Amino acid sequence: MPSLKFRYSVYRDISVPIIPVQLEGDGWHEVWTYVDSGASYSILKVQEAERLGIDIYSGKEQMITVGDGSLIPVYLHKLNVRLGEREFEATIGFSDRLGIGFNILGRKDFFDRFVFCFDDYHRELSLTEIEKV
Amino acid sequence: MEVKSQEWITKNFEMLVDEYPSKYIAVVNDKVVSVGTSAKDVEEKARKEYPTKIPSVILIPKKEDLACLL
Repeated sequence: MPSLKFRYSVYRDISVPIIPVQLEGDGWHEVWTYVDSGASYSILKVQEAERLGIDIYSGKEQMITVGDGSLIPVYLHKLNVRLGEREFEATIGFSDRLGIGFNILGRKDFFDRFVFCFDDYHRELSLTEIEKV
Repeated sequence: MEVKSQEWITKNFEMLVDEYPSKYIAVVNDKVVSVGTSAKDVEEKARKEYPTKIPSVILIPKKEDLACLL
């Protein structure tokens, strides 16, 4: 399978690897996420759940440590995801305490399916599907 | 997926951060079709205008959000 390639988004001298994924809630919706290899889980803002027609509190609650060392509650759901031409199920968390300006795409169910290559020189993120044996 | 909308967002990201910080926007093809503070409202408005499309909805970060330690 050829790699999926995403150009970084650039603001002045700062470039950020934000990419669109589609998620199935009450239909298919497109959500933009910051790809964060240091994040264990993908976590979206609560407003995205409202848009997708998902009751976040029906998910499994898990406390997660964030960058300032504090713990926030995250509600984990299994959702169908489309990334490029691939469709699969992934664990997606939602939180009303996510204090940063991005949704986060973390490792679980994504980094064990694709090899993520962050090419900061060319400002490009490429995803290559892993051939599982 | 709507590649045209995605490419347009990436190419115009600097303008979007300057024009729409902390706002949700919906993009269809190469056009911002709705803007607001409610993600749901922004998407619903875009879908009314383009019922056959999945709009590309994105929360535009503030410039301070871009240099972050996640």
